[in-house]
Amino acid sequence: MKKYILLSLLITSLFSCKDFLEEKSVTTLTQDYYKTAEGLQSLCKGSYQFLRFKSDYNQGNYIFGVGSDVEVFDWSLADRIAMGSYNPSGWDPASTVSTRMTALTNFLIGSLSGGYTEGAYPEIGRCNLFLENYAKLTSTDQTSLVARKGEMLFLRAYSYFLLTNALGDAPLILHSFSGMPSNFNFPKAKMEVIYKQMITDLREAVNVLPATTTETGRITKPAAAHLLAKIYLARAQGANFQNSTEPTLKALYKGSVTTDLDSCIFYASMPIDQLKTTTAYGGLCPNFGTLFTTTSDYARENQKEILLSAQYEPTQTYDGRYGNTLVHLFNSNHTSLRACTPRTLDYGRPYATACPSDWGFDQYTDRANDSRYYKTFLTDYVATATTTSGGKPWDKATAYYYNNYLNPTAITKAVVGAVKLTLGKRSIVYIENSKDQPFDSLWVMSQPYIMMVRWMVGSPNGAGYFNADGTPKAGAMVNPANPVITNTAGRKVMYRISGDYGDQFGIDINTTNSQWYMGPRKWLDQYRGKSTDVNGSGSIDFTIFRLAETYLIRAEAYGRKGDFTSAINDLNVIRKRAAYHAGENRSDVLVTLEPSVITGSLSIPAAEKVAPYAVTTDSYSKIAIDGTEWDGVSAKSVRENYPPTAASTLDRFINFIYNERGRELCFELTNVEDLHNAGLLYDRIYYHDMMGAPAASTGTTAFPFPKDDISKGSIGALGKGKGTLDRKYTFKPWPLVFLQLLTDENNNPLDAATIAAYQNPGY
Amino acid sequence: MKNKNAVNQKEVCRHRMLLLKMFCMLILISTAPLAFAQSVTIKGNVKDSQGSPLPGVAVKVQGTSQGTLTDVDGNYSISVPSSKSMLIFSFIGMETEKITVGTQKAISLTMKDSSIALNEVVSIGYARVKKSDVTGALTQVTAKTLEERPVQNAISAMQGKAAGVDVQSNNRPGEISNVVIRGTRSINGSNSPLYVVDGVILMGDMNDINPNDIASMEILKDASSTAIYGSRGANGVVLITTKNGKKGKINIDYTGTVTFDVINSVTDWASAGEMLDRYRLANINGGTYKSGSTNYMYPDPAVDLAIFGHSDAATMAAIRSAYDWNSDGTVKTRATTSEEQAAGWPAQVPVYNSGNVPTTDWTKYLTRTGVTQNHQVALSSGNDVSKLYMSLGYYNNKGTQENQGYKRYSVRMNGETSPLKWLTVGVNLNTSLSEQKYGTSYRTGSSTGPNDAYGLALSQYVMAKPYDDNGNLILYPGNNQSLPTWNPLINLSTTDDLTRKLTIQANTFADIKFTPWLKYHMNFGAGYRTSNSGSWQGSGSTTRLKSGLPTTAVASYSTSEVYQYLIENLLYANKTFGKHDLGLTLMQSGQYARNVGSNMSASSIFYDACKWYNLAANSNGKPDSYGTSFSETSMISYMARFNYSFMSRYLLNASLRSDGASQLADGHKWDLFPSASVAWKLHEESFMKSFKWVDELKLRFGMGTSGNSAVGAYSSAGPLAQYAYTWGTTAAYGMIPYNMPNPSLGWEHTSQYNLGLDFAFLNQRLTGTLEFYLSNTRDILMYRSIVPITGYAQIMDNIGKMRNKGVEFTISSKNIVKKDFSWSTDLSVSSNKNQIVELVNGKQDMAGNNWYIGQPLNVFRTYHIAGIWQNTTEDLAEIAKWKANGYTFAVGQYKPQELGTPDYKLTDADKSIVGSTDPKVVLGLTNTFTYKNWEFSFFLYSRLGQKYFSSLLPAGINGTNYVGYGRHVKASDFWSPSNPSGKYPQPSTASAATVNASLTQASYVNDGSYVIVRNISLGYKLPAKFANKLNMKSMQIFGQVMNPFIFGGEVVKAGLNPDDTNGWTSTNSVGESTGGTNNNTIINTSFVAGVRVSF
Repeated sequence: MKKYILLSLLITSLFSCKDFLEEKSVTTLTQDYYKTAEGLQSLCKGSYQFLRFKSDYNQGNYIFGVGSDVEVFDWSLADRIAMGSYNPSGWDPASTVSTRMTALTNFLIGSLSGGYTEGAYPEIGRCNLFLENYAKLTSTDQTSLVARKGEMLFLRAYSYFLLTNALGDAPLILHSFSGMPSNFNFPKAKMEVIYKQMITDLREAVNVLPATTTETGRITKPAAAHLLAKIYLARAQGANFQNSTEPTLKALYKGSVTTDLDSCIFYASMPIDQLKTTTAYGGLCPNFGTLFTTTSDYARENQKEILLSAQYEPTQTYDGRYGNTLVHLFNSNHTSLRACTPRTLDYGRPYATACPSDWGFDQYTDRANDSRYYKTFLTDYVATATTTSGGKPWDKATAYYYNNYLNPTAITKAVVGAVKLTLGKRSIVYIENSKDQPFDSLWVMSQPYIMMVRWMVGSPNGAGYFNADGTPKAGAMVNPANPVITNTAGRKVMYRISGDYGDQFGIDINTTNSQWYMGPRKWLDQYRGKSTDVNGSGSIDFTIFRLAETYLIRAEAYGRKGDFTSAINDLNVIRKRAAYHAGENRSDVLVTLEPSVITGSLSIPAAEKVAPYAVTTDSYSKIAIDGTEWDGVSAKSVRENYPPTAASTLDRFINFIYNERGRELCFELTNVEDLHNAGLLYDRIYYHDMMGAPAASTGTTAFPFPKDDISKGSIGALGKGKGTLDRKYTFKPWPLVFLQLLTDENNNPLDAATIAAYQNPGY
Repeated sequence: MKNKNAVNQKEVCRHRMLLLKMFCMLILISTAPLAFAQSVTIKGNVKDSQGSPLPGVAVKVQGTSQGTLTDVDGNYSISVPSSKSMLIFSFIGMETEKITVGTQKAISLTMKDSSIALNEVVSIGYARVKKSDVTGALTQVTAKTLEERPVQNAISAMQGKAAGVDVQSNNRPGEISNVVIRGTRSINGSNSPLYVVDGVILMGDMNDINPNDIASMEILKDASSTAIYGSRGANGVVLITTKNGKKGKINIDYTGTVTFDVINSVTDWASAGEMLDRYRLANINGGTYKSGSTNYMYPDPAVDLAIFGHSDAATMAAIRSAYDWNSDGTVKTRATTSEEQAAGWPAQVPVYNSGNVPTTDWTKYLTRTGVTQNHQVALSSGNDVSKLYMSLGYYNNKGTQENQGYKRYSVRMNGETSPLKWLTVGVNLNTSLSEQKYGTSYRTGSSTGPNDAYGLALSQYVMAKPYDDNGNLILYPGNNQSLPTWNPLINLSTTDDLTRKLTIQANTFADIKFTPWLKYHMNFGAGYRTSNSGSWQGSGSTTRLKSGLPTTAVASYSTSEVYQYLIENLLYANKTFGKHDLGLTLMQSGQYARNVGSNMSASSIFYDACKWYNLAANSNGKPDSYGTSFSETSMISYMARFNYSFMSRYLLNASLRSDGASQLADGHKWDLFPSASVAWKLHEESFMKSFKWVDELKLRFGMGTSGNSAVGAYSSAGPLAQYAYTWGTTAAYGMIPYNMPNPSLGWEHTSQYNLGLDFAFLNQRLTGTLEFYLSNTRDILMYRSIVPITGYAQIMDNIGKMRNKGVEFTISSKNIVKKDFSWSTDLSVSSNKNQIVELVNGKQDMAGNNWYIGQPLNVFRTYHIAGIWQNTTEDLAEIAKWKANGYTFAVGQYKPQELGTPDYKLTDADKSIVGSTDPKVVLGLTNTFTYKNWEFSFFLYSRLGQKYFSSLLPAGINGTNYVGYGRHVKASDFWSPSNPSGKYPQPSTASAATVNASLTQASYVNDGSYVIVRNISLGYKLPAKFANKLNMKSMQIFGQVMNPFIFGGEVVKAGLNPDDTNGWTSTNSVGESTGGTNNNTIINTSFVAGVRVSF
């Protein structure tokens, strides 16, 4: 009997299975949370993720930050150097394995990354989810969340804006998905339809958003109005291409509404009017450089000029997966020069993956008076390494010239074989001179630092300055007061021969050395990696819109309407701020080493040429715009380097706007999409970027592509394009991996013809 | 083992003898009146194969109830009815002997060991049956096999011993080898089999089980066998039976081995001089061996120092030593030959001899002779009521690499008692405590690269030195600060990691016999495992030094705790009706598992000594990041099994299991797993009786469906993810959706058909098994990419189909059986073909994951190379055509082979699949020779037809300016204008620009086949007499060499170890194979000395 009692006891230990198998969610929330106002607040905060798209990592950096006429592709050195900026292996969408570009566009469309679904459509899905749930809230809750609704409407429009800027027509999705749909039939909507939706969303956003916010980084009315103005302008630009015979231009058509330019001016005026009296420069931050300082208080981030920025913070706890990667992207490889500048927090981590084109430097037509050149570029470095090993040493010739000519009164003499760099002293200088103002090579090489100049000239008739035994040749020395050789007769003029190893930089002779170029200082972040990790994430905010651009948008709209006077007024707000103001100092590189200043072709008042080069007279009058900049004949107009295809005054005006945008906004990730929407991207790369342009292009008459006097066969500067630019590259390809996921209404995969029709022109 | 049993038995017998003798006498007396008239008394002595007397052997007269047992000295005496009577001698573990009395008065014999005895009992899951009654496909691995080599865990011991079980090696101490039974089925889920120890699912891992505690392992391979484990059976089931106490006197066994492990590099490394020559040649060919604008064609010290010296003292000294120097510091020169002058050399060139360049052997600084200690003491005892087995194990593997190691203490206690006739209760308790030093290698400069100290050593420069003249470590040997290449020796003392695990698994069981045919069994198992893991990079470690000043330490610490229990109720009914044997098993079980974890990390730690034990020692006063995690799963199962046998000749087995799991969505929680199998014992048929040489011939067929529990907790619900944004510097956390919910998520299902044949011929001299199988896996759990327009990029879904088919063959042969000498051979061969049948969207390849329909899961897909461009007009014309499309190629470099019509573009269409990491054939061969007390054996293991993906090009072929490690290569192997048949491209610094990187990969696919001599062993067993004198029952001493030789093709010759396949299947983000060089490339050769003593 005992055993049966025991058995019955055991049998009762059988489980009640219903409870036992129930899965309780302990550590995770589900989408039911969005039925509450609190949940929607949370969804809105999380949706700010997409504002970081451009700055977060390569996908945003590359799609929007390189590939204009001033910012050059540099995916990998081998690609750019050997095959040019554009090449089929990087862009081919037909590959079932994603290529670089399709991998990037796949991220833009939507992709998993670090545990989140990132990209435009996931963001659109979140906005749709918000709006659907918002509609079901009580009116009290709705009122409390009305600003959030405005933010989500903005984010939906901003998502479609980035998406269409890269890919053109795209599916328009205005509802969320709660489970697997019965098919993946997502035909593309015309940009015309998408633009209408964006405008509807943004007009409502402008209406419901507050003018200011106490929560830094929240989307406000000025930000929404700015984007709306930009979208009206883009539609007006595209309207011209309705009947274009060029498919990539025709694809820019977004509808034709005659009032668009007026709407653009109306909405652009909103932030301008709100802010124009906040500073003496029409609401702009008084000093252009302040926007890009690296002071530890992050003062750059709190400027009123900034209408919207993606937020990052120094503890990097809330910075997403990568932080602001722009802090690495454009940096030149200062560590591989023998300049005693190892990788430290002082200078950027050298990704060396995107760099300026020659035009990126030359677009600044008056470096002496337009402060933006020296405030945009990192022209000089200071030696930061105590170690002298690996530093560039003096040789006989340079030591002799330094001791006897360059610095005869120096207490510390140059010693042959000793490292020429000194800790804490200047170690690298970049000079972007023109071919008619080359530096003498002995003078360049004999500086007590490494000097990287674009154009350098050899000794007269190539005879050299020294005899075979190292003694100087009589009477053949360079005048140290006048190192710029304007008369180059009988001399070889050489393009980008560095002051270090003597090999070229920035051009295709040597992939290693081509990592050297003058990079921008706009994203230099000395506090990256929590101030400890030189390779760490960036923590400075990424500016999405600033008021200077609003002025440029409105100026373009005025100009397109023929109102050049109003356009010039807006442009001069920009120029007024761009000038050197009394009380600030010019860079000593500018005053002492800039060839155009040495020769006097650009003038600086004599009184301001004395260290510390303090400015006493505002230089605005030297750079104020008067309209001759686009007359097609004046010297100023020639310096603007208009593509020959810009035949009319309006064409040149529009191109001037984009020159000014380049000067003001380069490396801020707006150039590519703006040039694209304006229909100018192809022409400007064709005539401005030697590394992108095909061989048929030789540049423009005023700025021909450089040609080296020393032949190196097919490598080096040949006076013609070295890339494979094609019109199709102005649109990015849809990835085949994406297209293969699409189906028809019956859930069948698309056939090859349908896939081809979905793809952008030319691919 | 055999002898031990025998001795053991002897002890047991002394105690039971009296009782048994009385019992036998009683029988004899009772039968005496009937038998008296013709009875004959037979006497004799029974010995075992070692010549020791065998006590306790049952001696029976056939057809009668007469019988006796041998005494302690192996003697017996029995009365038989007539001279026609036949005596049957039987003893466990020995082959039963039948001898007709005839005229003999004394019958003495030596009993033979039975290696495959038909009456052996094996586990089949929830029951043990006679091996001859098995209807499914299973392989048994016995304690004897496990004892062959000292191994860290029982998995390693299975390698090559069980056909169809592919065990990959893993050289890192404390790591568990990957086991795949009959091919890969799951893509995202685990392919590891289910381990069941003494009837209860293993709650830790196989490292927790001391292999010396295992009595036998049965590997269930086909679905008809594994379906009774339902949703968890698809990957095969390994049933482990641990040792138990035996009735008799206390038995104490000690087994100990000491192993010396040394790294055995099969590469013929080039000397520093050869490497310098190769780098220089590449620079000369690439036009980069120059000073100023002058190109040099011959070795020149100034150019050498400028290009290769890098201001590094050791490197410069090494270069200088290749030249002869005058006392004034100028280099000695020699006159050039006319050939040299014809090649453009000047009249005088420096005297140069690369043989004088000293080579730094970096590996010796980072490796050592590893010593592995493995000791176990086991105690067993038992009486009629209770049995007990206790063991204490210690395993300590001090790895061959300075920063690796593994240590384990294990305790096991198995006990059972039968307080009442109908009741048996027992407990199995296993505790294991382990410590692993993983030996993380902190790479600097690149996120990929060597992942162990040996690999780091090989990434150093051969002319650089780790220490300066004062004996201090040099930060950048070779002075490469831009890559940067740090001295890996720095990290030996400045980084650390340690993982500690404690596992306790306790199973209790109760058996109740209601009637002779009805039994109830209950299992209750509870497991607890806690592990904690710390890693530390001190302020002086390379990664910290790299981050810039001031350097501080970083460390992280994580813990995990798993708590599980399982309750099983089983009811067994077995009944025989005439020729019909019927059995029914019913099972109900519930399982629960709960995982809790925590992790934290801190940077800027003030002081190094605290390692990861004080993560608040920074300026924040707290770790930088910390978190906790939690998950729980539960499962309920019901199972019924029916078995039927007719005349012990025709067998049928059928089962049905139903599993309900918590992690599946409501409405989809339950699933059914059926199976059926039949067997036909042909040898029992009368028509087979005439084939005397056939002992066994059994044909089996089975089919069934099993599942794989790849679904993680909460994966069907579509949870939200926390995203951290910020307003200024104020946290703004948001919750955003990330995976699309999938309410219909279910198990993966594998259906398998198995046809098997078991045979035993020639009086068991030749035994073996042949199996054919076909398995189809469906509903494979995959993250399915969905059109991101939905707002979600992927969903976990049941999609995809995979097929595996294969054949397995096992044969054991006793080639020679003599009194003093025997030779036996065991061979196991298996071949599996893996094939993807369907993926997402049905028939569409998933190139982004490197998955192609109709191909194995792990394939390599690359461009093709058509040799090397020659300096011919045809080739130059071709190069020009490529050049027009932007592809730069050069003479002496690889030439692409386009597929289809050439268009002079390297597109995806020019790639094709060239091989797989899967071996075509896996085989294991053991030969054992015994001579008197000596035993000699060796074991060969081989994987054939697997492809290895990595560059085998000799290092230095692309020049660069830092002279690193490389393989020795004959000059004639390099292409040159005068040697157009060289198999490697011409060394040239220009090759980086002239060879498409993806094209080079076409040369990466190499045959990874190999044969390794896994061990050679020699053992000696002390004669029982001597052992007894030493108060031992038995003693065996042995020595062996493990992994002494490996043979193979290019891969082996290149110094890579294809035996360790970890990482071979790695791919990059676009699905291209990245190859396996990131993992261990070495083989440890080990020398073992061991002893087994039984008291």
